[in-house]
Parts: sequence; C-alpha cells; structure tokens
Amino acid sequence: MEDRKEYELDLDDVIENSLILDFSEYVECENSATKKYNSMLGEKGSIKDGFLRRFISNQKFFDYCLYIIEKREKELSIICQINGDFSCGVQINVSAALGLLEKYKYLSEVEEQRLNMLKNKASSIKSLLEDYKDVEYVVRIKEKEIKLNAKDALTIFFSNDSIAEKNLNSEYILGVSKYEFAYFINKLIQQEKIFQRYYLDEKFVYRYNALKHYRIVDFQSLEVLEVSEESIKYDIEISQELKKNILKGMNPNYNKLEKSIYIYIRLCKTFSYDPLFYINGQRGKVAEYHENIDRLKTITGKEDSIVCYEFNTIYGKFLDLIGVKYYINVRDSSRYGRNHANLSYIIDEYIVWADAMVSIMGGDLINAKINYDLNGLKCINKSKSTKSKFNRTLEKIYKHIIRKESISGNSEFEISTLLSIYRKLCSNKNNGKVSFARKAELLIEEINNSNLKDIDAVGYLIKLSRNLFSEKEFKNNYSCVVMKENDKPKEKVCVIITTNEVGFEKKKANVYMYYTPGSKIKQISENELEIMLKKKKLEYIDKTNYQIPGFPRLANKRRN
Amino acid sequence: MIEELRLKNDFLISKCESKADTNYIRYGIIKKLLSDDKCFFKISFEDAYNILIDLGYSENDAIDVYKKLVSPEEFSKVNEE
Repeated sequence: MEDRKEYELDLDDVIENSLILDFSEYVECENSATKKYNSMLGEKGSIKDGFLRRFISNQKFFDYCLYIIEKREKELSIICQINGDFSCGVQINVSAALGLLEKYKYLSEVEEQRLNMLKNKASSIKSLLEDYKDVEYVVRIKEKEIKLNAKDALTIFFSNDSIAEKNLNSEYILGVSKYEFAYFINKLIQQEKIFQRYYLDEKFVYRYNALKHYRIVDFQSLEVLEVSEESIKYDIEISQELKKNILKGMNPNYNKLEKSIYIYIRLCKTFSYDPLFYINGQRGKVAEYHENIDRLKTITGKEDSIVCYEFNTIYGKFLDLIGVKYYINVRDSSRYGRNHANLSYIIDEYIVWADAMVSIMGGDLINAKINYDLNGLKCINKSKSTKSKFNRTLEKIYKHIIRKESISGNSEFEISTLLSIYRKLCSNKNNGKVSFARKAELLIEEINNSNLKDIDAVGYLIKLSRNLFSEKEFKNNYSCVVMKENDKPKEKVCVIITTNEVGFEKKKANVYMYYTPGSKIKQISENELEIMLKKKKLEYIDKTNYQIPGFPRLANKRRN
Repeated sequence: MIEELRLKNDFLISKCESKADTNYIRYGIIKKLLSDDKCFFKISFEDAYNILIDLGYSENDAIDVYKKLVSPEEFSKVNEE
C-alpha cells in the first residue's frame, strides 16, 4: 500500500510540474532542428527548436513556462503521453531556453511580448532577493562557521557595478573578511544554482565568472584549506643552534609570508645535498641513516648534508614556529623517507609550494648559494595578481638576504634581457671565438684549483661547463657525467669528463678524464675506463640517464 | 677583480661623446651587468669574453681575467655568510 502511495505522490508531482503533450505534438517537436547553447558559465547543451519556439508562440507552452519561472524552478519538464501512459520526456534548462529565445531574429508582436514577460519574471533581482529575504545561510570554512543573511549577501553581490566594486574590495563585508565573503557568496550562488534558476543580466554572469576564477578576490586558499586537514606532519625537535643559524638576521617586522620565504632561502643557503645519498640511488645504508628522523635534532646547520624529506621536515618545523599551517606532499606517506617529498603551505591568500630539490644539480640548494633565481618556491594560486604579488615579495626578501651578504644581484631575467640588447650592440668581431680546446683547458685549470667539497665541487664543475660550452659543444664535443665510485670501503661521487674536438661520432678521438672532489682532473684511457665500469668500480647513478660517450647505456644520452 | 672592470667601464663611459652613442648604451649595459658581483657565474663564456674584449683586454688577457672571475674562490664566496 505504501509503495502505491509513494507512486501516486510522485505522479502528482510530475503532473503538476510538467507539460504533458500527446504523441503527435511531442514527436513534431522532437523532430525539429536542434539549437545548441554554450552558456557563459560554461554549460553546454541543446534544445529542439520545436519545444523552444512554442514557449513564446503557443499559449499552453507559455503558461507552463511562466508557471515554472514563477516557482523558481530551474528545469522545464515536457512529457509525452501515449494511451494514457507517460512514455518519454525532456528536461530543458530555463536560463538556457531564455538565452536561446533571445537570439531569434524575427518574432511576432505576441512572441516578443511573451518573451519579455518571461525574461522580466525570470530576471528580476527583486524576486531573487525577495526569495532569500529571511534565509540565514550557513557556509563552513574548516572549523569556522559563517552565517549571513542570504539577501544581504546577494544584495551586495548583485548591486550596480560601482557599488559592487566598492563593497567587494572592502577589507570586511558584513562582518567577515573579504576572502570569507567571496568564499561564502560563491558557495551560495553555486549551491543554490542562482544562475540556473534566475535569468540574470549578462554583467552578473561576467561578475560571477570573475569571482569564481578569483579575479575579484583571491579566496582560493580557503578552498585548499578544506582538503588539507588530513595532512602528514612530523613532530620533531630541532637544535637551538640551527634555529639561531637560520633565523639570524631575520627582520622581526617581516610578516608571516616574508618570514617563510626568508627561512626557505636561509635553509637553502645553509644545507647541502648528501652526495652519498645521490650516488647510491637513494638506497642502502645511507638511506637508512637519513630515514632516522631522530637525527634531525642533531643538525646544527654547519656542514650538514641532508636529503629532500629532511629539508621538508625541518622547513615544516620552522613554519610551525612562525605559526604557518603546511602539509607535506608525498606519494607514499606510510613511512618517513620513502619517497621524494615537498610541501605546501597557506598564508592569507597565498598557496605556496616548496621543493628545494626540484633537481639535485639545478635545485635551490645550489641556486640560493650562487644567488640564482629560485625554482623551488612558488605561489600556486590561479590568480595572476596573487602570483605576481608573491613573486615581488620573494624577490624583495631574496634581495634583502643578498644585500646582507654584501653581494648585489641581478635577477636572471634582467641579465638575459641585458645580454640580448648587449649582443645586438656588440661591436667587436670576436664573438667569443675561443677554441674548444682552449675552453676545455680553462675548465681543467679552474677545477684543479678548486677546494670545494663533494656536491658543491661537482655543482661548480657543472656550472662552469654550462658557462663555457655551447649547446652544440655539449652535444658533439663535451660531456660530464656524475657517477658513483666504489672505493671500498667508501663510496664517493666522481665525474667522468669526455672531450672530443672533432665530434663524438669519431669515437677514437674521445679523451676521457676522471675527477673526484678534492683531487685534480686526470686523464684516463678508454681501456681503464672500460675496466672500471666492468668491475663496477664506477657505476652510473640510478634514476639518471646520462651516459659517457662511447659507453652506451640503455637510456638516451642527456646533457648533464 | 670585478672592481677593476667597473673602473675600466666607467672610464669608457666617460669617453663617450653623447648619450645617444651606441657605445654609451653598450657600456651602460655592461655597467648594469657588473653591478652584480656574481654576474660572471650567470652569463656564458662567450658573453663574458666579449665584455672583456669590449673593456679593452687582449684575447689572451681576457681568458686570464675570466679565470679569475670564475675561480673556485669566487664560487666559494657565495657560500660564506
């Protein structure tokens, strides 16, 4: 009995809210041409012309449409009846239908009147506000509950351009921050399907699009915050000495964002990547050593070698100290130190992504030491304005640090712009014409004079190589491959340099050289190199696919 | 070392007759580049070499000067506090 009752209720509802057509009329409409629409809110669809036109040409259709609009429903429902049974039907979005009807070029007087009447009924801001006048709408932003009168909020958003602009740019709106208000109104419009249920002026659609793409107020960080509650965190202790080292010279008047940037750069300038971890393919005893989270409390910032997840954990601890929420991004969070990790944090409207080891040789642990542009601290907001505000802050703090070190610096962008003008104006005809052999000689002399240690020494070699040799020379005449040397009981990092004045295709002309930090570059024969490789005294580093010219490896050759 | 280059460049700027002189603009760019103590770590050897030749060094001297500018000592400086 109850089932039957439910069925009857549904049926009543269908009859009340649908337009029922007989088979022939329904089929006639169904067989008409299709009108496609692509709304400014990004919704796509199509409506059969037969149904559409009838909303203004046919009294029965018009009355039904008006009834649905007055009820603030968003869908028109048309059902086909055959022998007393409902067989099929279509649903038509009210706003889409009105949008398409507006595009008809030739309308009769009656049709025009009806269309205007439908639009007026649908587009009345007054009726929208009337519908929400007593509604206290609640939106949750993490632990905070925002409860506002929906009519008040909608009035602000749907006011005239100048008033809306002024209001939406105020720091506080209806007692909440402008970010919270933007989040609230976006949720309200989305959840209540305002634009689907009310046919609103195009300018409001533009305004809403600007709002949801964070162009009015960037509230994206509030949305990210929603999904970050379950983030991984490691509760660790760090030494007072490390705190002192890193925070030394930090302006106490910096805001949180500036502090977070300052700490990141100072950490990058302080720590070096562990060469043993690198050459062992991030496995073995050295990996176990780093996986011991307790060791972090012994780190002081003086000659400490670290790896990516340790950097994150330490940076996270510093973020905690300055009261910044963060979350670690790692593929497998079940065990500390299993995978590459980076972290993200949120300060006000900024969503920041930090990864000091985007690559070992080209990451910020090296970039920061030679005052290069950083590539591991980025604002990941969609809003261009937020990104550029962040970049300006990053540049400012970086410059503060560089100035403190008494080293003034130009950004890489400035340098490349200056150089491109310089090259055009260059008067001398030399055009940097120094033979390949002379450049190779120069490299060897410089490296042999180097007292740098481990990865820093290798980083210097690579940096100098990149400055000295052109892309073409890297392809045909010069190669340096960082490798692991098993010099039992120790393992160390070394580099095999190959030069060939005539080009690598002439293998016999290859000159092989061996370099390990702390010693001088020495030439070795092809035979010696082959034996070292065969006996596994020298090994390629896992996870890299560089190769020594003349000693093919499975993967493709890449510039180091 | 970089101080010496700055002085040479300032001298060459002072010798330019007008601000519209191409040399004036070129030396101005060099001045801006040299304002960065670490600029020689940021530019290619070719560009560095051309700048040194522009500043009046001979081809041989240019290489010697370049070596000093990108020496390990210079590289280490940036690691120092």
